[in-house]
Amino acid sequence: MRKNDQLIVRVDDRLLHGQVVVGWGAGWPASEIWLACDRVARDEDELLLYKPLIPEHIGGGIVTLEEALSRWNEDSIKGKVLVVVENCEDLHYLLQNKFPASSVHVGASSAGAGKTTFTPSVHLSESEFETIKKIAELGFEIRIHELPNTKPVVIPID
Amino acid sequence: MIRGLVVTHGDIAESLVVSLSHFLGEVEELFFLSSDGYSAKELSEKIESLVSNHNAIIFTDLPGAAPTTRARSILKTNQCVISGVNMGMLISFAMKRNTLSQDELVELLVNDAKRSVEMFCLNS
Repeated sequence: MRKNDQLIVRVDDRLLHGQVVVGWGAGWPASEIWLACDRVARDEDELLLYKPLIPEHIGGGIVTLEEALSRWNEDSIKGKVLVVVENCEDLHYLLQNKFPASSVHVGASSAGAGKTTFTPSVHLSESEFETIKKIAELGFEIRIHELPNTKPVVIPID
Repeated sequence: MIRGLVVTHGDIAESLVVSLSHFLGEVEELFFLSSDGYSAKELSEKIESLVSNHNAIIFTDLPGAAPTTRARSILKTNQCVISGVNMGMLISFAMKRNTLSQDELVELLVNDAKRSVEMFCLNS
C-alpha cells in the first residue's frame, strides 16, 4: 500500500445516499465507492436501485461481505476507497477477518426504541454499542464522522 | 383520487406542502414526510405505510438520494415516483389530478416542473 492509498469503512444504515455519494464521493474525494452488504448484493431489485447510484466517474460496486474480504488486502488498495456497510456487526465481521481498513467510522445509524442518541444522525442500541467496544478491542479507533469536513465525534466507550 | 406524498431531506417536504396551501388552501390527500433519522429499511416501511392501497405519486427531492431510492423500492403498478419536486410541480398536481389519467398526469407534472425553471439575468 502506498502512502496515499486509503480504505475507509463507514457504517451507514441508509447505505448509498447523498451524504455518501456527494459528501464522501466528491468531498473526500473517493476514487472508488463500494457497498458491502449481503442483503443488497443478493437481492436483484435492490441491486437495480443501488448500482446506478455509484457515479460512473468514481466507480466501485456492490459486493457481499465475503467478496469484500477477498477483494482487498494491504497491497491491493489503490487510491481512496470508501466501503459502506449497513451496520456495526458487518463492520466487526470484516475487521475480525483482517479486512485492511485504514480507518473506520459510523456515519448514520437510525433512531429507535431503546437507542441512545450520540449525534442527530447516530443512535446506538446496547448491542450495537457492545459491538463497537469489540471493534475498539481489535485496535480500531471508531468515531462518528458524518462528512469529510465535519469534526469527528468520539464515542465514549468506557 | 390520486394520493400525493412528498418525501425529502429535512423540512423541505413539509414546507412545500404548507406553502402550497397558502396558494390553494388546504390540499386534500397530500402528505409529507422527512427522511431524517430513518434507516433505508425504515424509510421504505414508512413510505409504504403512507401510500399502500392507493393510486399515488411520490414526489422526492433528489434522484439517487434516500427518499427516491426508498420510494422506488416499494412501488406498486399504480404508483410512481417523480424526483426534483418543486412548487410548480405540486401546483400542477393539485390542480390537474382529477382531470387526467395517472400516466398522463405524471408526464404533465414532469413537463410543468421543467417549464418552471427559467433564468432571469441582467446583462452587465
